[in-house]
Amino acid sequence: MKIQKWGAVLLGAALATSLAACSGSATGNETKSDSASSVASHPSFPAGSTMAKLAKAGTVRIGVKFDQPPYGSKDLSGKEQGFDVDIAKAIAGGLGIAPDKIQWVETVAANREPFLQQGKVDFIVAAYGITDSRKQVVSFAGPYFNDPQDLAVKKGNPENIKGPKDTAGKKVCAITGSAVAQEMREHYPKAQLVQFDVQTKCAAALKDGSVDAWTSDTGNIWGAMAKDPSAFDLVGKPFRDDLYAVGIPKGDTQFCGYIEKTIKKLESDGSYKKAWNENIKTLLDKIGLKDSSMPTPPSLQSCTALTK
Amino acid sequence: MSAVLANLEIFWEGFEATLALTLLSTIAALVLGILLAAFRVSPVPVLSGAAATYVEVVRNTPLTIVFFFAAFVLPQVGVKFSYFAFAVLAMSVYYASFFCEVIRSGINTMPIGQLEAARSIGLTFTKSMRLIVMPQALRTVVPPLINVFIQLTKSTSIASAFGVVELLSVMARLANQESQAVIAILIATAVFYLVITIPSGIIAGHIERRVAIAR
Repeated sequence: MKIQKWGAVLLGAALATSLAACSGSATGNETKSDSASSVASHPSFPAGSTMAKLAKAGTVRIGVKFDQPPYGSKDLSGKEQGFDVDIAKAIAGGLGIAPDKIQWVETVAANREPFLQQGKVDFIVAAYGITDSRKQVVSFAGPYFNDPQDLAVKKGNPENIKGPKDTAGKKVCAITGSAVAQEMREHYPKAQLVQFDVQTKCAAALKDGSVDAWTSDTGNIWGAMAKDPSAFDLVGKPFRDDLYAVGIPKGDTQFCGYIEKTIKKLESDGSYKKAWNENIKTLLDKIGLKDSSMPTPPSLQSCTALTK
Repeated sequence: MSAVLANLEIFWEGFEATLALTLLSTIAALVLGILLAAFRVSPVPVLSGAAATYVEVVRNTPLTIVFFFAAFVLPQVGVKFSYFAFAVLAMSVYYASFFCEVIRSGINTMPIGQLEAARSIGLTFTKSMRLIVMPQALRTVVPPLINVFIQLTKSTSIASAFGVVELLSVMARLANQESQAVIAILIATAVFYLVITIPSGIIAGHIERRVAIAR
């Protein structure tokens, strides 16, 4: 009797929480997107293609960053925003899927390949650079953006670092195991590499003078500068391209073709420029960088090569 | 497998750092732990109170936070060490509290009459600790000491997030570089940790048998 009573209490509590969870997510989904990504009404795609499958399902799971402005982050109300998010919405829109039908999945550097391989996401727009070793396990479509590697130094540049060559004998911070760190080891081996697991620690180490410079894709440096404009200077001599592309399951050439067509359309109809202005230009103006004009988007690579 | 063999040199670099971090931290933590344990059982309230406070504060704080203090708070007040030195500092400070408690439990197994006898023949507290109590107490706690040592060995991986290139940083680097062989690299990394921890368990077994007191 006693057990039954407790069982009922537990069941009731479980129901209450699950109901609360349901209503919570329902209200979350109702918030309308303010970005003007157009949604195709009845797109048609070749039978059996990924596009046809997603269009029929009417929903899509997209991997984005939740913590990397200006590419992907959550605003104060928990809504996804950023340059990558706008690109992702446009790709979904072309499939007839409205922004509120998108399931956003957080992807980080370590789980992007597994998530694509295990089908946990349909595609990934998460500051995802094309590399040869990644191409062995997943495929790409694009690139849609170049976020080159650059250096940040303490405000006023006390060590007088004007480019990557000046890092010889200096302590340079980078993310453990990143392509950015690999670039330093390969081409600037005289720099003393100090490695942390997250960018914020590099920023803190640079601020307290434990390292002389911090190297990263430029977007991360912008992010740190926006938070603390009086702490850092951007060296502004980019030295390694990092071409961001949409990550897709390996070998899906058709899907790659569709995404590249969408990117081309975004560039020609002004939506690309709009996404740049809303997400990146505002940030650069906040930092007070002199040049906040939009760079020419990188040229698209052939889908046959990207999905081999 | 080939991805592991091709990068053995890089693995070795990380292994050396992990081993150095483990050994230096263990020595420092053990010395500090013995001192703390002596303080905790001492009759001077200030010493026993201070040692007890230290143990309770440090032992109940996540190691990552201790690392944060060492690597990011100390530089702000002007302490400039290498990140390796900060890591040794964080590990020693943290594990001293665990070693202290293990040793204190060893001291507590000793009949109180031994200390009374030592004091009554004119030994000071310090001398009776050093000559009578500690040698016996340490022998009884070899297995739990090794337990803490193994835990310490594995915790060195936290240093990878605080500027030290050890096994886990090497793993992150290789996993990124050789995306096609991630599983092999994860297994190899685990094996390198086992190379430290399993022999230490075996050695501990030997020491335990050699120094055991027949009661």
